[in-house]
Amino acid sequence: VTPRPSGLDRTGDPVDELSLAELVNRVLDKGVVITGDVTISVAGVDLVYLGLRVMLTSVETATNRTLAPGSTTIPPGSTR
Amino acid sequence: MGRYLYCIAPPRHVPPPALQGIADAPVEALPIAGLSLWTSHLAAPPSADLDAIRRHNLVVEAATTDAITPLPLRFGQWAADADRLAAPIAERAEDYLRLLGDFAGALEFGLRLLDTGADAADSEADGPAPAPAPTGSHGPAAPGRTHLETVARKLHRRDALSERGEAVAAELRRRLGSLVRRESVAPLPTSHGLVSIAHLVGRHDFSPYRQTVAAFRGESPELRLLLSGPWPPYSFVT
Repeated sequence: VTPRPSGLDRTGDPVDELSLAELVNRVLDKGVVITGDVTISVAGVDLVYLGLRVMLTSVETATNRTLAPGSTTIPPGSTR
Repeated sequence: MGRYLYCIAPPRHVPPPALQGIADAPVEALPIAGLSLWTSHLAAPPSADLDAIRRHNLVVEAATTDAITPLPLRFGQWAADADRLAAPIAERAEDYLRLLGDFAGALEFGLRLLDTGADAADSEADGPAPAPAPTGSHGPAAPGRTHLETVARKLHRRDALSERGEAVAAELRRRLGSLVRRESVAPLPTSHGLVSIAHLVGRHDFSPYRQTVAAFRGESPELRLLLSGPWPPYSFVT
């Protein structure tokens, strides 16, 4: 995969810890959907999240944990 | 073999030769209705694991240049063959071309507004109901009534948070003025959440946009304001 274009460089963003959760929220829940029978979309986000155990936490919870003093990671399996 | 679709790009905007997408599949352009679709050959729809999600987005970002902002597809858009993509794409081709023009040179920022005082409010809402007023022969409140009162307090607080979030979003939008090309505001239905905002911002305005948001954050200590981006404009093509 080619490097990210410079205009999308998020390195150094003080809330870069959020990026993974924000990315998943966007890619799974937003974007163009091609309507019709060609679409095999990930329709039920809840079901998708069941397969994404690391993401079984909301952005808010992730933020509270990652921004907590001394904490830099989201504990796997964290749930709300 | 099936086709997986990452994004819609302007005509003649094609992937670099070495670009790989989901499952290391080469990414290639599929011209349909005057558009350039960035696709990979995949035998079946991909499973929604984190690697596939990252790869999807990296391809979309690889299609992004200073002058071109592609239209990102939602994860999972797959068709059994290219012909089955043609009809629905062609049907909306004019809309897609117009959006490509509107989005050129701009990307999305995400903002989440959280209420830092929500912990105390949560405890209050979850705690026991206030002592009931003397009720004569009716006695103390029944468990069912206590539960319903707790639920009512939570709903009331949820409404209050939503209204507050909209008011804060409106004030922030006023401050940002012409730095924002488009805005999308949605409730953030969590215990701390006020509102989730997406802004479409031109590249030349990234710096003043960030500065304005930082200043707003500094003036609002009662809020936690989380900024992320820039992202492809997922929120504006849904």
